[in-house]
Amino acid sequence: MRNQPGVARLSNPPGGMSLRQFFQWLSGAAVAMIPLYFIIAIVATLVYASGFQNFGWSFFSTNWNPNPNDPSVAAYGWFDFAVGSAITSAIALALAMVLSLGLAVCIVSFLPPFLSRLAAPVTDMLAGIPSVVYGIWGYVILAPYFSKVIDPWMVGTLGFLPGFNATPTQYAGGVGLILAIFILTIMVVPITTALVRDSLRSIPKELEEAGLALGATRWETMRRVKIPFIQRSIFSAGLLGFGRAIGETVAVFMVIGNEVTLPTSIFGGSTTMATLLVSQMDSAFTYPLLLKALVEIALVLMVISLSVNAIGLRLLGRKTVTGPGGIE
Amino acid sequence: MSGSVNRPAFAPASVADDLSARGFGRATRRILFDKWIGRLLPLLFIVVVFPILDMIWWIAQNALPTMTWSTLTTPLYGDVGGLYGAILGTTYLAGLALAICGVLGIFGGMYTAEYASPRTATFARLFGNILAGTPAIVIGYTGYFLLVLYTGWGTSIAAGAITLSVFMLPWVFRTTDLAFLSVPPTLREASLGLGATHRQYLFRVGFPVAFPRILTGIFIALAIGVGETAPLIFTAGWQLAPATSLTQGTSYLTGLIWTYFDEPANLGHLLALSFQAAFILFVIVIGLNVVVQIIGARYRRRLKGLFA
Amino acid sequence: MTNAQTAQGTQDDLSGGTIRRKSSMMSKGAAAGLAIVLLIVGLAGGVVVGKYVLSSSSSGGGSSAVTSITETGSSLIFPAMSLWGPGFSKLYPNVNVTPQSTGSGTGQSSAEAGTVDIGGTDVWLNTTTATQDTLLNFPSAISAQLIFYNLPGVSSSTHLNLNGTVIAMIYSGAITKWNDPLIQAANPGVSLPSNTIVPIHRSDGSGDTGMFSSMCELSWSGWTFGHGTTIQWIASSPSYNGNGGMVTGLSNTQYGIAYIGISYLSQASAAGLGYAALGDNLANSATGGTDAANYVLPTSQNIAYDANLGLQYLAPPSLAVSLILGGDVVGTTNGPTIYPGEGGTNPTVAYPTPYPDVNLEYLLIQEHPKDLSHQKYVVQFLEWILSYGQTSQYLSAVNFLPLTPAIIGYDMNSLQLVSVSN
Repeated sequence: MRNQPGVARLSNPPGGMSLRQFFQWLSGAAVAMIPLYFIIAIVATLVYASGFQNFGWSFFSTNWNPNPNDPSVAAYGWFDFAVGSAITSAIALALAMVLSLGLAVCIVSFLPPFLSRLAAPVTDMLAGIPSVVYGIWGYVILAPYFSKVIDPWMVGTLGFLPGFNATPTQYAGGVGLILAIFILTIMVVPITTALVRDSLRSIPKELEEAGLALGATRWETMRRVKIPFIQRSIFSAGLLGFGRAIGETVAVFMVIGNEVTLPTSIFGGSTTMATLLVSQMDSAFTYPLLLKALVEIALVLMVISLSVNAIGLRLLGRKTVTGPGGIE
Repeated sequence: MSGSVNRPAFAPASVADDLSARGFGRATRRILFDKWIGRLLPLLFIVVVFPILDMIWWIAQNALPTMTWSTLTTPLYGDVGGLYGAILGTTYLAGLALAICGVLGIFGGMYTAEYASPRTATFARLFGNILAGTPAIVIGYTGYFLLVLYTGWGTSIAAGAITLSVFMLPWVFRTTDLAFLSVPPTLREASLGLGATHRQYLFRVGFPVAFPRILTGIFIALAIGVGETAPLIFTAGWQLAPATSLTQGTSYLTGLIWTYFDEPANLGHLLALSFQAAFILFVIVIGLNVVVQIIGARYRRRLKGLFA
Repeated sequence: MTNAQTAQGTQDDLSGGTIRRKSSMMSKGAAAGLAIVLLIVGLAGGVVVGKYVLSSSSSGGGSSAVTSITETGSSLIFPAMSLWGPGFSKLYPNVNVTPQSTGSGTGQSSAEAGTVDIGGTDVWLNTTTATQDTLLNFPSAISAQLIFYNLPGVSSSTHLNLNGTVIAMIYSGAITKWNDPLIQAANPGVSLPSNTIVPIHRSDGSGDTGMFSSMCELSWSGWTFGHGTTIQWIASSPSYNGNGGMVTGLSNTQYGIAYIGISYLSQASAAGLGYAALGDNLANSATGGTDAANYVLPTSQNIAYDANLGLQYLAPPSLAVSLILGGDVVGTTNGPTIYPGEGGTNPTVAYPTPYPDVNLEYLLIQEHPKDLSHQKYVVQFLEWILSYGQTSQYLSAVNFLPLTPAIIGYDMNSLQLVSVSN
């Protein structure tokens, strides 16, 4: 944030404002807060649509059974899906951050200029590919490959680790957590890469030149000077990537298998909260309680997205999350 | 890397210490390491390049053999026809959404960067980030309950476009904000120093300089809007005939893939159409990216010229 | 916006290296601020006002313009509807049919809400909903569900004999091996592997699941999961999206079993999957009934036979039933009952075994819609479906079967109930 002293600002204390200035301030502040209005509208609509249905404590459980014939056994616990969401987005984000740090570093410091100019837009392009295309590609092209090659190989080599063991039937179709994580990683990488790359580029040239002039190699300048300098931006990129990962719906829906169980293996199927909202919406039109449960799960998803950002803000010490690079 | 501890991470002097303290062999190793890192890091691009190439190859293979000019110009009806209605629908949806979120996002971003108090700006950015992180399907649900059910519009272009604009808004908002923040301070100082008011600076200097980056944000938002499915599934409805009013539903390219990809094999034409829709989406996305690059290059050249 | 123009002009100024100052009459900032406030008020107001303005004008179709009949619902009906639409428009060029593939639940709720002209569903409307909302059921074609399996070592031309009880037991986890005595007894000549059966189900809410779970529920008293478009499944059952996904999933899953709509028969056969001959519980191998004659393949003849039988015993006065004969159909003086398929129940009516897992594809329309003049086109379309629409030109691509004359008669009678006006 740039806050030069002496720059005229309209947000003077209201006491010193003319009426016209006050309205200008009001309209301006109003427009800056448009995202907030949308967020309020989303939360309010969902709360209203949920009908304040009280599912009791069973809502906070792994018991999911939308049995329409016997209301006494019906239960709408969302923890299964929370676990699916957490596993996919956390692992995908971790992989994506490592990859995108490498990619951004490579683009900024290690590629010859003409390649660097080419590499950046190619990475950006990956972000623009429609998620439904990722979905069908993962489902038609990757799934058979995962089921026949990657999954058996990984089970063979990593099977001793908890969560990495699986029976062949679990990964038979190729769809499942591991494929969803793979697709999500590819989808998140361009976003985080672009953010990290832009931050790296916005570092004052003097810093890099100082590092290099002192005899540090490119890598050392990067490792010791540049990356520490943009730590915050990296963190903020991670938050944005997480938002994308946990909310991605269509692509994940097509590749995760949508099994309603607590995942026992990374090669088995699972459901995320976002994909549940798509896959069960149709049934929900004829199961009144299921619809309300879905709306409340959407609300939970919204609250998670809100809190991740709020926690992020807190961790950043009440500084702005986004700024041009490290110059905040 | 060098094993040094208790040294501030951001302290260029330590590198010099390293160099003098560790002797020549160490330096050679460091330089070699740097060289190899430089050679190995580019391998990461496989992760990026392979999916793009593979998708393009696969989609082109399935789309192009049966694609003709009439694919683009005839609407689909039943299992005959092309993608005209879907292309038109995507244009309507993304165009209308862009009109809404463009106005709101540019003014919002501009205000945040230039006028807002630090506190207001911090919160505006926070909420922008939260909205950017809001799952598309949650926005879609909201659109369904608020615009489709509550207002009684039914599934329609209007409902779809407004829902989509909420999804696209943060991208315009953020890039506009960043664009104004990254206007070189010297320009601001010069114009204010010459006696311009803040408003004059903003509209005569700041906006023109920031404009290319804002445009970049708009194109990114457009690419995202064109390629998104989740907010539209429950809001935009479906109609094969080209839409004539905002209250009608419409077909759109991503929805077409979503709908037709799983049809029985006997209706192979529909499968081919969904590949062709994916191909067109690719062309749009690549086209938008190229435009963004051109704008960016011109912007850099202009800035350079400004300071030369 | 004028800002863009200003911007353009200023860019030129900039590159010229000078900044010219113009005095503006009105404060641009105030104007912009006002515009934004108006915009926000307009947007917020528009949502509320639009509720009354848009919704009242949306359904009125002009007389000269092309009228659009909207349909939404079952993804199984969708391909047939896609073929019917253009066929109908050949006769009625001023009418356009817009089908949408969403799902049976959407079809039902949209028809109830009146947001579409026709709702498509694979599962029948329960009678209370139907009367409450004065919806009418129109069976439009006959479809069936096939039980496919991926059994290495068993040629796909060999059709295993299975019945509702066995299938329900497999999906409940009561039968876990392919060479279980119950399966083996019904398939004397086949050497079944000892591998674990992988029962595959649909992950999305779907009418197929509704039919399948109904069959299981009717067939076996041990079935505890109820029936519906979404139910709970045992943990060891993987799932896939859509019928196409089921075909892909099953073809990748050795020793798997799956329920798939007949529209996907050619796709599944191309993938090398075999499908079962189904029997009713006369053929219940649990009680030693191994009579191969009681297992029938989903041929058009057998499916039609089931449809007729269902109609004869179950249908009138309402076709709001599914023709899933997982249990035995027993004629009694009080009318038909479906037995929950306990082994050993003796049938009292002699008939050739029908193919059990058959359903009608229903179209739901409102009996008293708001727009009566528009409804006349809907009725015309339904009449067309019941006549021309039943030819193989439209149905064979999705392996549907034409309605039997009795069902068409029922439909025609129901059509008389629909309020229309010219």
